Parts: sequence; C-alpha cells; structure tokens
Amino acid sequence: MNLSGQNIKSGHCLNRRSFINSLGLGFGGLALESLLMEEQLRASSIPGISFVNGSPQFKPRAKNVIWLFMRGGVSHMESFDPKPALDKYAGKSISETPFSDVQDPEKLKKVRVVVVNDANGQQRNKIYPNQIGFKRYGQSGIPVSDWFPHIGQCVDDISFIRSMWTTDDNHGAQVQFHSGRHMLDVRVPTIGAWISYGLGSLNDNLPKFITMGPRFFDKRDGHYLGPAYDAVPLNVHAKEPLAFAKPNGLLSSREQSVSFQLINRLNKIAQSQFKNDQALEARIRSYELAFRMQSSIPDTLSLDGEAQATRELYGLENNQTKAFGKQLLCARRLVEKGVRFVQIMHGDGAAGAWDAHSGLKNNHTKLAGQVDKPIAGLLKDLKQRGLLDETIVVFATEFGRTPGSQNGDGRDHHPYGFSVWMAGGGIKGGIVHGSTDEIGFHTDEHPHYVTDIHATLLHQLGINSRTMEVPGHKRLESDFGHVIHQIV
Amino acid sequence: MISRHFQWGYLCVFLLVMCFYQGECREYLEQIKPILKARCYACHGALKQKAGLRLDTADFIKSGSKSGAVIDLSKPEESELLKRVLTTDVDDRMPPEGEAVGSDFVLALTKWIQSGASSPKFEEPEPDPQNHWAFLPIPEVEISWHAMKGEANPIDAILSEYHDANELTPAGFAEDRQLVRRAYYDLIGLPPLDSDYAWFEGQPESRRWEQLIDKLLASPQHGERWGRHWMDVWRYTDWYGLGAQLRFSQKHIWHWRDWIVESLNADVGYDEMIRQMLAADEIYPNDQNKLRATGYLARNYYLFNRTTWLDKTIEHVGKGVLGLTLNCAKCHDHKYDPISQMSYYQFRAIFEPHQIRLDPVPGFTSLEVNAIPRAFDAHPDEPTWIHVRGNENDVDKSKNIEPALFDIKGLEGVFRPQQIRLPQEAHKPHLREYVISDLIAQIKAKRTKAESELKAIPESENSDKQLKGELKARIHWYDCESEFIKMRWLADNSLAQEIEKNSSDIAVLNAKKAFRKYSLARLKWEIENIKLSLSQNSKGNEAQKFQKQLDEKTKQLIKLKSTEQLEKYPRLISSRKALESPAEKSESQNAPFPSSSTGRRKAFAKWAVHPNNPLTARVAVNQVWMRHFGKPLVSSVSDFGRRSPRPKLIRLLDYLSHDLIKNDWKFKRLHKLILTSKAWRRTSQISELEQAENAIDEENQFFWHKPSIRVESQIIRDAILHLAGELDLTMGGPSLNSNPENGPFRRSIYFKHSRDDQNQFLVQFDDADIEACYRREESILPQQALALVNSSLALSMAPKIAKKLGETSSGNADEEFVNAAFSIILGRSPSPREVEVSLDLIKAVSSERQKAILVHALINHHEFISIK
Repeated sequence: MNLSGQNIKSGHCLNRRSFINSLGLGFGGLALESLLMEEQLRASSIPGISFVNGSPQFKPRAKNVIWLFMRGGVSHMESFDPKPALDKYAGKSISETPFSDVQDPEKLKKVRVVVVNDANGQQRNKIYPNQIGFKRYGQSGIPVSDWFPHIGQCVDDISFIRSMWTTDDNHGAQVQFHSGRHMLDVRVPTIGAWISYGLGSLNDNLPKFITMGPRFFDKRDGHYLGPAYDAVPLNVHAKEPLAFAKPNGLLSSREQSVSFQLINRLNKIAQSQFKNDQALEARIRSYELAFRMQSSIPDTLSLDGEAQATRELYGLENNQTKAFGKQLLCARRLVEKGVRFVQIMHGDGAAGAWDAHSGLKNNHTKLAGQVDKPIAGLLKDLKQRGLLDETIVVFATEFGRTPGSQNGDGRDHHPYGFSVWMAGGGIKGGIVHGSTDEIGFHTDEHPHYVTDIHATLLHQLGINSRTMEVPGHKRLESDFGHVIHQIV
Repeated sequence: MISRHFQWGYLCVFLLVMCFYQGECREYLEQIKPILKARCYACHGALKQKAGLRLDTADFIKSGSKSGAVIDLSKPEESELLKRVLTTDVDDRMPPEGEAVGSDFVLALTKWIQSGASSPKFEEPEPDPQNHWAFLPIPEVEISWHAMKGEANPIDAILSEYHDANELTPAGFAEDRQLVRRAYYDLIGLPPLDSDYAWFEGQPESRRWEQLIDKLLASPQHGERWGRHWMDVWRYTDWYGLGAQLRFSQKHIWHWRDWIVESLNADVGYDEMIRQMLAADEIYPNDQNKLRATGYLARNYYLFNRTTWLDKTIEHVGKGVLGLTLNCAKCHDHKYDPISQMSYYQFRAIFEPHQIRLDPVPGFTSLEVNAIPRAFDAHPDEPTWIHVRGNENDVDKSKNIEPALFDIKGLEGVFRPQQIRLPQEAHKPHLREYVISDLIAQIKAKRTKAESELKAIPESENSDKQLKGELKARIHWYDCESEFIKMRWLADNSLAQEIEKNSSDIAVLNAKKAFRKYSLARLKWEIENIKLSLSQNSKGNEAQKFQKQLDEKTKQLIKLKSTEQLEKYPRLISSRKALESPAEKSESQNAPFPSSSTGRRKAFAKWAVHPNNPLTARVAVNQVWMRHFGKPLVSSVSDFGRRSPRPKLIRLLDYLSHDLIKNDWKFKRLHKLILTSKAWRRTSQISELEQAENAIDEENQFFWHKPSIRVESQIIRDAILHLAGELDLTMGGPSLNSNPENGPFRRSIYFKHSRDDQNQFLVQFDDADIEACYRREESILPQQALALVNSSLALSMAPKIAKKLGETSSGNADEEFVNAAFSIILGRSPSPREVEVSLDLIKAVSSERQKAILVHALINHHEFISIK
C-alpha cells in the first residue's frame, strides 16, 4: 500500500527508477538520480503525462524554500495587518462595537476548540488597543509595524497575505500549518516532506530537507511517505550540528577512514556474490553519502568565508539577533548548495515563545527584535546574490492573536484570521492580498486555509499539489489547498 | 529487465486481443469503468445501491435506478448520468465528494452512450461483499498424504503446491551457523555467542534443531523479543503531555509491558491475551496481575477529548485485532466494507462506559510512585450518540445507540453483553487488606523514626523541651492515625458485608470515635509544631505569622473538644480515576466506583476471539509470519477488508489460522511450526544460479527463498551490547530514561518510549511509531551509517567485542581473528577474499587498534543488521 514505506521489503516489485527514488536516501542526489531527473523532465514535456517524485511537472519558477515559522502565534494586528479600529474602540466589549456580529456562533463554528480553560480557548471580549505603531514603506507604501522596521524595508519584494485562517485554536495548529490537519486528526506528511518527495535533491552530499530550531509537537515529517522524507535536524549552535556526525575522540580520523574503506570493500564483496540484493546496494551508497556528509555539513555550515558586511546584514554581531541570524545565514548557504527545503522554527517553549497571553508588548518587542533584522538580511542577501529569484522565503505562524485582551495586557489564540507573507521565487513583490474585518477578527476578502500556502509553494516549484498522493492514503480536499494566483 | 520486456509483450498481446473482441466497448472498459469503480461503486455497486442504482456493469447502468433510466439512448445528452456529473449544483452533483469528474471521462461517457452503450461480453458484477475472502469462515485446509509428498511440515506441503504450479524450484538451505543465528534473532532477539554455537554443535545431530528451538522458546528473553513486536501492534507508549501535565497514555503503563512479556513467556493463548486486554476488569475483577493487561485501553487515554480517545480505541482495536478499518465509517458508511456509520457508533457504545483509573500496588502507598493503570466501567449509563457526518459538535441526541456488532457469518448472536456484579474489593479497592497494612506499615515507620529522634535527646536537656513535646505529640498522632485506619477498615468492611445492622452501626460508631481522636491528636501535634517553630524564631514577621497560626489552631482545638456531635469520617481514596477533562474537579474524580460493569467489553472480547471469527486469527498469523519472513502473507497487515485482495497463499494462511485456533491460540506452537519448516531454513542469498526462479517470481510471493530482514532498531543496539558482554538481562520494571549517559545497559524494550521520549540511536533505525506501527519501516539512510560508525555505543563496544573474541584487545589482527570475528558477528566464515581484504586494509591502523577497528567495520556490515 505504502510504496515508500515498504521500499526495501517490496523493492523487487518496483522498477529500478522508482526503487532508487523511493529509497530517497534522505540525500538522494545520486548521479543516477540526476540522470533520471533529466530523463523525466524530457518525458514530462509530453502533454498529459506528469511525474511525481523526482522532478517538476511543469516549468518551475523556484528551486528552494526557506520556511520561517514563528511558534506561538504572532499578533497579526501588530505586525502586518494594521487595525486603527482597535484604538478607537479600546476598552469596549465587542458587543458594544459595530462589529458585534463577529461573534455570531455560525461564524465561530469552523474552529475546533479543544483546550478550554482559564488560559485558553475563550472569547476575549474587551478590545485591546494597538501596542505598537505602523509606518509605510517602499514604493508600494505597505504598512508594517514598528516591531519589524527591517522587514519594512523589503516590502516591495513581499506578498502579504492578510486573510489566513485555520481550524485549530490550540498550538497543535503548528502541526496543522505544516500538514493541513488538525492535531486531533491523523498525522500526515508535512509540506517539507511533500516537497522533498516531489522534487528530490539537487546535491549529492547534503540532505534535501533540513530543520533547525525548536520543533513543534510532531517530530516526524514523512509519516506515510517514510522516514526518508523526515527533515534532518541540524543544530547550528552545537559543536556537532548533525547527530552522530563525529566520533567524539573515540576514533581517529585515520581509523575512521580505514573502517569506512573496510565497510565499503566488504559490502562490495558481498554484493559481487549476490547481485540482486538491492538493499545492500542502497546500504553501500548510504555509507558513501554518510562519509561525504561528515565533511559537507561542517563545510556548508562554516561561516569563516563570509564577509563582515554579510555577517552584519544578518545581525551576527549583535547578541540579540545573532542566534537566529546564524541559522538564516546557514540556511542561505544550504539552499545555495541545493538543499530543497530549510525549515527554521523560532520561539522556544512547549507552546512557542510568541504565545503572549500576557505582556504582549514586552514579548513581541523582544522576539521581533530577534528576528526582524536577520530576516530582512536574508532577503537582501538572497537578492544581491540573485538567489531570491529561485528561493521562496515564507514567514508564517500558527494563528494570530485576539483583538480582545487577556490578562489585561495580552492576547489569546486567534485562528479565525491572521497574516503570513511570502517573497521570492516568482512571488510578486509589494502586494497585499486578502483582508480581515475592521477589528482583525474574521477573514474578509480572499480567505485562505493554511494548505493554500502549500499549494502555492508547490506551484512555484513546478508541481500540481493534486498529484501529491500515494496509493492507500486518501487525502482530503482541504489537504491539497488552492494556489493563490493573485500573488504569483 | 528481461522480465519487464516480457511483461510489455504480454500487455501488447492482451490489448490486441481486447481490441479485437471488445471493439466498441473499449472506451467503456478503458476510460469509463475505471472511473466509475474509483468514484461511484462505493454507493452504486455491490456494497450499496443508493437510489437503487448500480454502476458496476454496463447492463446495470442500462437498467437504471428506482426513478428510471439514467442513460437516454435517443437523446444521449439528456442522460441523467451525464447531467448529474456535469451539474454545478453541489447538492445534485455526483460524486458528492471530491472534485468533479474530468472532461475526458465526460467525453468518453457521452460517446459511449451515443454509440449505443453496448455491454462487453462476460462482464461480471462486483462480488457480494459478504463473500469477501476475509469475511468467510476459516476452513480446515485439507492436506492429503498424497499432497504432502513426503514433506513433514504442512507449511512446506502447502508451499510445494504453489511451487509446482509455478514451476519454481525452491532455493537450498542456509548453513547451520546462519540458521542458528537466525533462530536466535527470531526467537529471542539476541545474537548467539560462541558458547551458544558450541552447545548446538554438541547436541546429537538428529535432535539438535528441535532442541535449540525449544530452548529458545523457553528462554525469558523470548517474551521480550515478541513483546516488542506486539507492543508495536498494540501501540505501546509511556505517558506524555505538557510539562508535568499528563495528556496521553498513563503513568506506570510499563505494568502492561511486563504483562505482555510474561504472558508470551507463559504461552498464554492469543485469545486469552485479547480477552484480558479488552476486559480483564470484567472477567477477572480481582486479579491484579491480569488487570495490567487493560493497559491496552489505558494507552489511548487522552485528557482533552473523549471522542478522540474513543476514535483511537475503535480505530486500533479494528486494525490491530480485526484487520478492519472501522475508522473509515466514522463520518459516513464505509466506502469499501459492509460497515455502516451506525455500526461505528454501535462499536463505540461498547467502549463508551469505560474510563481509566490507577489502582494501588502492594508495598506502595502513593499512586504517583507505583500503581496499575487499568480500565473500568465508570459510567455504565453513558449514552452514545451519532455524530452527524462525524462532527462532534453536531450530535444527534434523539436516539441512544446501543452496543452492537456488524454482521459476520458464524457470529450471529455471539455478542450479548450481560451486566456483571463486581466483587467488593474490585470496586472498593480501599477494602483490600494490603492497602490497609501498607498504610499502617508506613505510619509505623514514621513512628519509629520519631521515637528514635526522641531517644536521641538527652533526658536532662532542657533546651530541647519544645522539640520533645513536638515529637511526643507526633507519636501520639501516628498512634491515633493507625487506630483510625483500622477502625475505618472494620467499619467499611462491615458496611460492605451487609451484615447485621447493629454490628455495622457499632463499627461505624467506633470509626467515628477513632476519627475524632485522630483529629484531636493531629491538631495537638500541629500546635506543638507551631510552638516549636516559635521557640526557634521568636522575633519579626515570621514569629507574627506563627503566632497567628497558633491562635487559629488553638481555636479549632477548643471548638473540636466542645463539639459533642461525632463527625462523618472521610473515605479512604486508594485508587484514582484519571481526569476526564482538565476541568474535572476532585469530587467527581474521587467518586465511588460503580459496583457493576456493563459486560460490553467482555462480550466483545468473546466475539473477537470466537473460533468462528474469520478475522482475528488470520490477522495474528499474518503478523507472526511477517516477523519471521520479513514479508506478510496479506500485504495490508491492518486492513483485511475488501480493498485487500485475496492473498496468493490463502491456503497457507488459513491452515495456520485454523491450526492456531485449534491449538488454544498458542504462539509457541506456531513459532515452532514455522522454524521447523524447510521454507524458513532456505537461504536468503540468491546467486546467479537462481536467475530462472527470479524471473518467475521476482517478488518471492511463493517464498521459494527466505527473504532477508533488516532487524529492528532495538535489536541492533541489544546485539552490539550482547556481543560485548555488556547487556544487562534484568527484566521488567519502570521504564528507563531513554537517553542515559551510561549503563547499566538493559534491553532497549525498557527505554521510555513516547512522543517526547525516544532513544536517539534507536530513532535512526525506524523505531516504532507510537501512533501506529503495524509494520516497521526498513529505511536505508545515511544517518544510520553515521549512527553505527560514530555513536559512542558502537565505538565503546567495538573494543570490548574484540577483547571477547581474542585473548586481548590489542595486537595485530591475524587470520584467526578475522575468522573468529566474522563467525561471531556475521554468523558465517569469511571467504579467502574477505580475509585478504580485511588484513590488507587493517594494516593502516596501529597494531593495538586493529582488532577493534575490524570489529567496528563488521558491526557496520550490511549483514550484521540483517537476518540473512
């Protein structure tokens, strides 16, 4: 049923191409695989025939994705979706404002509230005023809050989507933003897994899907696609960014290289005897890749060669911004080398640091201070290197925050309407797409469920999201999403 | 490659023949029927005939629906069928779910109708769902002596039928040494050591194979090996949540793990295991050991949402025990199997009353420290309602759904729940003698400690007067507490026994008096204790605080002394129900447990393991077979429904399933049957010589050779430690920290395993997914290579393995060492070429490290992590 899951066991029944693809090897990039990709690209120009797994289906606009995810829920009204009405009606309960119909139970129905206690899952009625001002930037004059002045300088490269909604009002929505499914539903592959499944790798020596920073509840990505499509976690701040990448003094490099040679030679002797053992063939290749990865990962993550100006651009010289900045600079180096999908999570803690149930002003001031400059630095750096044309940067969060106040100075979870943005890889710049109502409660124009972001990414990468399906695992309509054509 | 060309050849010939015969029906067969099958048959086929319409043959299409014809040959474009797929009205459009059908289909359909809608010859309708192979009774498979053809083992006799029919010559047998290794891995999950091989070789040749199998099946490690297999299927997970808040599964769930291991070692029948896991509380309400089995249900506990909790229970009882995807019928009738949405909620009603509680364990007085998580019917009258389209916010409360099971031939009338009256101690755990004696022992220990503290104070010492007072008051309090506990137990017992009212009245009165005495003693001690604090801290804010407390307590004491009325004494809470939601208050959480159980789960368990149940044994046999052969007989191991085609080797599956039921569902017999077959002993290494066989059956559907298996993550770690002599074989007990810095190196089954706790080494090798793991993945990833090359496990154990192999760990590796290393680590002798290459390459390493590096390379060898 699950071809990729049973890749080795049922390997015999697959043809060679699909076998090698299904191994994925996490790191694909076999010389053979790239040959196959060319072959498939040619084949895919035949109308009506499309290939999934290993190549784009039509001419792609982008090659890679850098996925920035703010864990906990960024206030949409105080980042990219200004709502002057909040100041006008500050202190009033929603029912006293002209917008009382936002709480019509029919309108609230689409969200599945699971955790209801004093701290979560309540309607917050008393309008809480804006905690920060806005300025207009660039030729497009798009307003961005003063917590994100550096991102403001990049608005002409960005499409802001102000009409996102989701159905999960718990932080399980982090899983949902990546997979399209509510935390109570089955776990299904995340967007990063689908993209690596659909496109494979561009590099012989590096994983195709990397994750950095604190992960959400679900530590797997591939699910029914198999572990070959799980993200490889890298910790760029640790001495050893990749688990088990170094023998930690228990083995000298000379000894290790002898051992690697020995493993390789002995496995090859076995292979010469039993030519049909495809698992053995894959095993040999996995060791060759592993050996190369030991050096390719540290080489790629080494920032020694980066110019001072670049380091400053990412905020590496500043204590507040250097942690996130380093991850972003590494992300640029990784996509430069052909990594398809780099997923970076920001915000520690079980729920995610952006979860400002109280003290929103301090919380967002601090956290925005950590990410604003590095993100703008990334966009500028990609642009100056000509990489922004082929790399999509996504800025996302699981939901927005309530227009009403919680605990006097915070805001609760708000899944009915929130903002994300995308830039690069053929995404239009200087665009504001969609809207919420005057107090930022419900989506108004062009509502988009989270998977619309997935469909749009896949589209830019040359894949029709509807073709992303494997036998035995039915996907729901809502899993596929719809391309946001207005921004591409 | 050759075989692929052949396939293309066949396909072309087939298509030509089709074109010749089917001429005008080609369009129907190639462009219409596949779409109808994928999109329409679920509601308009053999399973269901909505509106009286079937679409699974052209003749059916032409005969139309209840309301008339659906195709109009005179005015094709007026055909109802076309109108319904084309309309944009969502209420009318067919199919109602998913995207509209494509234009290719619409064109083909129009053309077909225009050209007269001719029917292909011999078109068969979909078979009757009730006759699906897995829903039919398991027949007793006849093997005539003639058919046995001299095969001693029925598995071989049956396989030989298939081999003959397909002109397959099975491969030869693996070498003895490899078979011994295979048997060790299969049955106990550990590699054989030198002494194990020696033992085998020392036995009389005619009997040694059987003796080895018996010995391994009797080994305590057997239960651990197969325990982990079943923990995969039954979704074992330790508790997890957010910080200290328990959200999933239960604390101390390891009791269930230990029950699994012990039950397998004792060869408890699979039917009995299922019975205990589903309903031990109803069948053996007072048997603490068997109650551990209901951890199977406790594992699904979910703090926030009861529907999610029950959905998981239903889904995985369905998949794991019955091989049915019941979960697909939650929102609508099952699209493939004869299971209605109503059946889903009838099934839910079986589990509706149950909740989870922690029961006390002898020797422990704190449920936090140790307890047994177990199921019980907390709400016998809890109604079950249908969720409209599966939406839990849209519940149809007009009708309470009674428990019932969907129809399966041979099981009519088997499911008949009968209410069960529980023995006193089952629903009043505070009456259990050990609960009282443990409490009293605990108080006694505290008393002894206080006494020795008192003795340690010299008689003459005046300064410690206050301390002495406090200690004396404390001892008195402990005495009164012991007394009260005893009196309460007597009272509770006499109430429970329903003896003569007079004597229970007296017991209750005594308990009330003892409670009063205890309350007084406790207050007096509290006062003494505050005085002690005051004497040490007579100034400042602190002192003021103490003084205030002292006044408060003194007032309470005076009030209590002056009250004539005896207070009602508090109940002893010795068992605690798990919170049903974060909002649940302690009052309902600690409410008395019902004195009866609905008997629904017991009735379901009876149905599930009834000898006539066609699914349960087949599903279990398929799991066992897969774990010995790396390949199941039915490839969709958790779905035996209509989407699962009749297995090629159904006679083998049925023989073994029937045999399992007939022999009290004993797995050890099944293991032995498999391990004594020739099929299991065949080589897994197919050389050029078998090209012909490979061409006939490349997928090895007929098991003409033994498939090679990548061992599970747990086994890789255990094997390395065992070869190094470092594996600690202590069994059972609480789960261990999943990423310890150091030893003791217990078997990997004992690591904490949950969403948040997973061992980093094991994770690399497709560790069990706690959500669903009916079959482990066997991925091949570079991270695995890195883990085996660079982990401290591999690096610290390699020299130890080398040391066990040679006299010393240092010294040049020579031919003798290479031989020894291969034969222990890979279970076979090296070829001359392998010896040569090993010795040649290892020279580059300093002499004292040669042996260790060679071992290091061999534990990275593909064969080491495979069962060949």
